[in-house]
Amino acid sequence: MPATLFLLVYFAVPLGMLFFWSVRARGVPGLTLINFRTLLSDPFFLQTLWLSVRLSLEVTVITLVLGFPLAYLYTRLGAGWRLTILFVTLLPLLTSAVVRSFAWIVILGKQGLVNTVLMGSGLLEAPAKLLFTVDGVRVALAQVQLPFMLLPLINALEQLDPSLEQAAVSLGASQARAFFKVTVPLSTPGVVAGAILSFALTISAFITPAMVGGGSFIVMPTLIYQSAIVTLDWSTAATTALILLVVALAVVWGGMMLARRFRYGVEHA
Amino acid sequence: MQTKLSRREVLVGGTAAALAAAAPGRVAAQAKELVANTYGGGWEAGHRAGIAQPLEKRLGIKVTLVSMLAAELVARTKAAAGGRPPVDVALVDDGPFLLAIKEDVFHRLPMDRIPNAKRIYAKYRPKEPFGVPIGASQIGIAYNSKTLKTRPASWADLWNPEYKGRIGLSTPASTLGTVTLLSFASLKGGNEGNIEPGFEAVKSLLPSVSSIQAVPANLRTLLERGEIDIAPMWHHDTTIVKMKGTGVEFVLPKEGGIAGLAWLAITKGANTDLAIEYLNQGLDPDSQKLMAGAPSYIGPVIEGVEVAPELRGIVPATPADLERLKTLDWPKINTQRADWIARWNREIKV
Repeated sequence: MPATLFLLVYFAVPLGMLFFWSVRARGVPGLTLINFRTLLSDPFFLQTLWLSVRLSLEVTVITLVLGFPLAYLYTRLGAGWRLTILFVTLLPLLTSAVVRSFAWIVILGKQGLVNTVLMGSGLLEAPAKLLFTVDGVRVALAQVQLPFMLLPLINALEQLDPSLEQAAVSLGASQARAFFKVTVPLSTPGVVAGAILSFALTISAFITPAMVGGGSFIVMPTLIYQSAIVTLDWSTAATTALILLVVALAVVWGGMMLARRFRYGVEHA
Repeated sequence: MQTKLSRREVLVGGTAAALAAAAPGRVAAQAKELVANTYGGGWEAGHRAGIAQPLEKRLGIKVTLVSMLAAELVARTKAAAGGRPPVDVALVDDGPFLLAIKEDVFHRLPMDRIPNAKRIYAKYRPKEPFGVPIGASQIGIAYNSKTLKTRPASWADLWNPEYKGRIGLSTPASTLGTVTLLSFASLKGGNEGNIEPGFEAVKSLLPSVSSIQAVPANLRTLLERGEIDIAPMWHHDTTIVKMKGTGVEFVLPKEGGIAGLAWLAITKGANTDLAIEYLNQGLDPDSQKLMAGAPSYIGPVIEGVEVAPELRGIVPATPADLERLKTLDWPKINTQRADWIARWNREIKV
C-alpha cells in the first residue's frame, strides 16, 4: 500500500501537473486546447517530432544489430571474455552524459581521433566533417545506449536452453538456420525489453544531441528545454512533453505488437 | 523462470526509482549555512575565493556553492515557489534576472544594509533594488592568433574569407548568443526593437560557420580544441582559454562592446540576513579585485579596482573601459526572446 501511494505521488501527480499546464494558456481563461493546436499545426514542430522518432528508431536498430551478436558471444564464451565484454560496454555508464559526449567530440572532431587516423594513413586529404552531423549524433547515441540493449539481451539469451539450438542442428538444420529459426525468436522478450529501453532513452536524450549535434541540431528535448528553462513558457513546455510522451508510447506499443508476430507462443523460455 | 514482473515488483521498483529521482535538494538550512549558485569553472573559483571563503572566515558560517546556469536557476526557483528555494543567493545574467523579478521570486533588497553598494559604477546601478551587479563581462571576438593570420578589428571582419569554416556561434538560448545577435544587428542599424538586420547578418555568415552551440562553455571547448578558431565570446571565457597557452586572443571590436552584467539576488524564502552579508562581501573592493584576476577574470562593478597590466583593456574596469561599452534594453529583449529562439531554430542551420 505505501508503495502504491508513493507511485501515485511521484508519477501520477507530476503527470497531472503536466496536463494541467498544457491545457492552460496565457491570456486565455479556463481550459483550452490551443497549445496543442498551435504546436501540432507548426511544420517545424512536426519536423522535429519526426526527427526525434526516426533518430531513436535508427539508434535502436543499430544497438540491436551491435548488441545481439555481442550478447550471443557473451553466452557462448568463457568467464574472462564475459567480464571483458561487460566491462567495456558498461564502463561509459559510470561517467556522465556530458563526459561521454565530450569524448565523442574528441573522437569525431576535425583534430580528432578518426580524422587523424584517416589523414595520417593517406585516405583523406582534408578532415571530414563528422562532428555536428546527424550521423555523428547517431553513432554517439548508439554507443551510449548500447549497454541498455545489451543487458536485457544477455538476460534473455542466458535463459535459453542451449540444447534447443543443438537439437535443431542434430535434426538437420545448418548452424545459421538453427540460430535464426530457434534462438532469435525465443529471445524476442529480451529484444523487446532492450528496444523499449533504448528507444525511450534515446528519444529523451538531450545532452548528446546538443553537444555532438551542435546548437542547430534540434530534437524534442531541446524544444522542451528552451520553453521550460529559458523562456519559462511552461504551457508550451508541458504540451511538448505530453505530445512526446504520447508519441513515444504509441511507437513502443506498435513495436510490441510487431514483436508478437515473431515469437513463439511460449511465454517463458 | 518468469520474465514477467509481478505487480508487487513493479510497485516497489517504481517507488524506489521515483524516490531516487526526487533529488535530495538542499540540505537542511541552519542559521549558519548559505547556499549560492555560480556558473561553474572560473565563476565558481572566483566566487569561492572572493566571496565564500572571506565570508566563512569572517562570520564563521558555511557557504555551499552549487553549479547552475542562470536560466535553470530561475526555472527551478520559480518551480519551488512557496517552498524552499534551491539557493539563498542567486547569480543570474541580465535576461534571466529581469524575468525572475517579473516572476516575483526575488526579495526587494534593503539597500541601506548593503553599504558597499554605494561604490557601484553609476552605469551598472539597477533601476529597482532587486539585486546588485557583481561582475561585468564584455563581448568581443576570440580568435586564435596561432592559426589565423589576420587579426579581426571589427565585427564586419568576421566575413573575411580567411575565417571560412572556422567560426563558431552561440544561439539566442544563451545570453552570449542574444548579445551576439544584437551586435550583428547594430552593424546595419538594427537594435532591440529591430532584430531583422541581425538575422540577415547571421544568415549571410552561415557559409563560414563551423559550429553553433547553445551552451557557451561548449563553444569554449571547441575553441580550445581547435575545432573552431574564431568566435564571439565573453572576455573572461576568452582569457581562460588564452591563459592555457592556446594562442587565443581577445579583441574588442572598434564598434565597441556590449556589457553583460551578472547579478546577485536573494530568493524568497532564503536566509536573508546571511544572504545580505554575501552580497555586501561580493561588492567589497578586495573581493572584486580578487575576482578580476585569475582564474575568473570577471570585470569589477565598483570604482577604483586596479587590474593587472596584461589584463587591462580586456577586463573592463576603468571608466574609460566602461565608456566603450553599451548596456542593452533587456526588458525589451525579454519580450521577444522566445520569438528569436524559435526563429533561430527554424531559419539558422549549419
